Amino acid sequence: MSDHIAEQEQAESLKRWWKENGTVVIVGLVVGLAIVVGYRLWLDYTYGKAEAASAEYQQLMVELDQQTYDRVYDRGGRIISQYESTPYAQLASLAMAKAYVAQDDLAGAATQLRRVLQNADSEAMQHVARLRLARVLLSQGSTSEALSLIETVDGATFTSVYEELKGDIQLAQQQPALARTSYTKALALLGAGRDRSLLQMKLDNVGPSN
Amino acid sequence: MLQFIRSHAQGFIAWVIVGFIILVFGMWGIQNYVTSEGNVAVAVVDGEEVSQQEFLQLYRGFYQQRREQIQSILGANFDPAILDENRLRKDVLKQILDEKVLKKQAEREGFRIGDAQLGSEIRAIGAFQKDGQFDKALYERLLRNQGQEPVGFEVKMRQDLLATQLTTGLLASSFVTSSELDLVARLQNEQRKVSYLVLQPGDSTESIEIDAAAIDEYYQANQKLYEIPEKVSVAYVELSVPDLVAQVDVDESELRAMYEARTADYQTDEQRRASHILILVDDDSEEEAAQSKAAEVLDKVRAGEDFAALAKLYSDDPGSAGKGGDIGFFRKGDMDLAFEEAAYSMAKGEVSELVKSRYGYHIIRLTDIRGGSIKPFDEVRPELEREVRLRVAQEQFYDLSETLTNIAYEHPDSLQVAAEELALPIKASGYFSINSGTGIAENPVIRRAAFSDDVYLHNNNSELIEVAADRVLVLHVKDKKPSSVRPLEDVKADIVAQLQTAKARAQLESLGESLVEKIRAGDAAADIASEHGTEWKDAGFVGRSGGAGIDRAIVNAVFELQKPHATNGEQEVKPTVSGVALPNGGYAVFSVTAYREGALSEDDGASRESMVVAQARRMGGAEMEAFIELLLKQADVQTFSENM
Repeated sequence: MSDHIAEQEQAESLKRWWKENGTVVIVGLVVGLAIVVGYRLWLDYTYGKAEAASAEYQQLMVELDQQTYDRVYDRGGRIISQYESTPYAQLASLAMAKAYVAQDDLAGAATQLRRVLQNADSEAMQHVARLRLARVLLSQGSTSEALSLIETVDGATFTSVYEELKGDIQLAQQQPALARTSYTKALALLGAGRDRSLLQMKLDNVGPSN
Repeated sequence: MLQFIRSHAQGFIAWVIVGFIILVFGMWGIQNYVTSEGNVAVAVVDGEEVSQQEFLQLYRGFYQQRREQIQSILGANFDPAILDENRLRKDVLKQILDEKVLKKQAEREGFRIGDAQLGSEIRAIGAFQKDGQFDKALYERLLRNQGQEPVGFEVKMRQDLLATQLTTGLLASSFVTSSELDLVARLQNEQRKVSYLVLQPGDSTESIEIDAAAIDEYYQANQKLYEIPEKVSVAYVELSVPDLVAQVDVDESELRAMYEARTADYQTDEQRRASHILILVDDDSEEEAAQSKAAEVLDKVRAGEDFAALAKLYSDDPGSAGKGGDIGFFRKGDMDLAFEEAAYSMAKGEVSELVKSRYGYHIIRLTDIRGGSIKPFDEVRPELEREVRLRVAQEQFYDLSETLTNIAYEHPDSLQVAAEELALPIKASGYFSINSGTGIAENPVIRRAAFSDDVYLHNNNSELIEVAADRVLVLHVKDKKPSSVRPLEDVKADIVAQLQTAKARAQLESLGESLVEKIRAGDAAADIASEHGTEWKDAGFVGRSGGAGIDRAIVNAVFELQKPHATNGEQEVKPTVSGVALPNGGYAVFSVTAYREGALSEDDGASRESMVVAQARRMGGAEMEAFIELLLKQADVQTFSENM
């Protein structure tokens, strides 16, 4: 008998609780569900976008290989504008930069490489973009701009490549003694499996240290 | 216990338990629980394992490839021990780690491969195609054969494609600018203006005196050169299929049974040869005329007229009429059915009645019968016997190999027991070293076994050694000859000649060096050359690839010289004089007097194009390597080389 009363009391208190908090619980559930569904939709959207960019990019690489540069500019530009948030925008810029260099349009190449340098998320990709940009600047004759771009950077595993480029810039600036130091560092840090001959030639070419 | 925890879970005991759990996971990590699940890891990259299985699969492929490569170069001299397996393991691990960090980077950056793209990549793989078309059944079968499921393969393929997009994105976009190309051409095509003289080595060095102390010193210092390596001779018990073949008892009834079972194989088709006279029936209306004409001819045949002549005269078969009606040998099934039935029911020499085929009326004379026989037992017996012997010998070979292994292991001190049990002779080898031998010791596997610790030091029987697929043996050391050094008397002449050559070289070299000094001091090089019976030659401008008449060693030395100062275009410099020893024992003194920058010849488009490709690849390769190294540095990589 007392059990029955206790049960009734419990039911009563449950009802009371639901009256007070029911709305909050339902709202909470709905919001929670909306977040989960929204997140899934958003994920599908970004994945879909990246996949579309990926397919376009694959085509871009074929066109780059075939040296149909007008198409490269065309498709590359489209990837950059339509899929800016995907990593393919960066790779498209790199591909376009190569096309510009092949057609001796160094200013065009520099624009693309600057874009990568500004937008690339990873440190490794930034090194690649910075090195390529500095090489283009050097080839344009803007030696001091090229040097200031790379001078203060911590090259990490790219140090040998940076030093070789620094040497090239210094040589162009008629500073063979500085170039010698840079080439020497580059040679010392060169990976074991890499071909040393050109770097050695560059070093021998600048004459002995005094 | 649970009740206890529940009732006290609010209090400090709960915190003690939670704290304990945190401590356990914190100190040992969840990794231990995950990795210990049967499969061992060779490395962990950012929490993701590289399983031993994955590693071994790749490693075996690598090993096989490398092995075949070297084997194709060395041929019979190939010794598997030549492969540096540790090095190979490291290379394979490095490759796996490189791929792992690239994949992770591609995933992190948000690279994606859509289903359609993945599908078209898979369909493009040649191995999955039949007649140039993707074949789904073939695809699934090939994967199953490798123990893979399509789903798993597609996941892996997708990851590979992600990493490939990243790497080709970097490599294919690598470039070289025109001015960079100019710099490379300036260096690679550089020319240097060279004059030189060559001091040739004397014809004979025999007159050079070498004192005894020098000989002794050289002998003592180079004992290794004169060492005779330790040698060993072995006793061995050998099992070979060819030997067993000879000993097999062949049961005559078994051969008979085999013969019976295979009669179909030994039967040859009977062939018959006939001549005929054909009277053609073109049209049903002519049938009667044709028949009566044929009957007439048949009468003539019966009357004894020459068949061949009649055929020539009457036969409507142009192919055979000229040959007296002969149509050669034929088999059953070759001819018109009515013709065949008649021909196969006749005896040799007999002439048929009129035979009606779909062509018309034939008069057939059977001229020959051949074949149709079964090869007699005696003829095929040797073949059957060989087969039985080989089969039995092979069965015995496997059984006896096992027995030999066991006995040799159970009685490791000598081969006596094994030889007696198996009724095999104990053979003996000549002496051989670890590096060379004759007879069975030509095989490096035998040599290594003989010099293994267990056999050589502990005097045990070797394991069963497979010399060939049908030949195995167990060996035991019979005698050892310790290593020794050849006595001085034996090698004295050799040493003297060596020292004489060396001394001659040194003399020429110091002479050369003194000439270098003189020329540097301002003496006329031409005079110095003629003083030493040679000539001061002007080679003109020489490129890195050398030129006519000038020794390669001189060219190399010229280009190893550092420029006295940076130069532009074509520029004379204060002569740099130096010398170099030549491979033939001579010595060259040379002087570099001018430098000329290299250039790209404008008209040579092909060489420009190949230089562009080579330089872009060089730059791209350097960037890629640094890129991967940076990713490896940033990742949390642990390797467990003991599991490799």
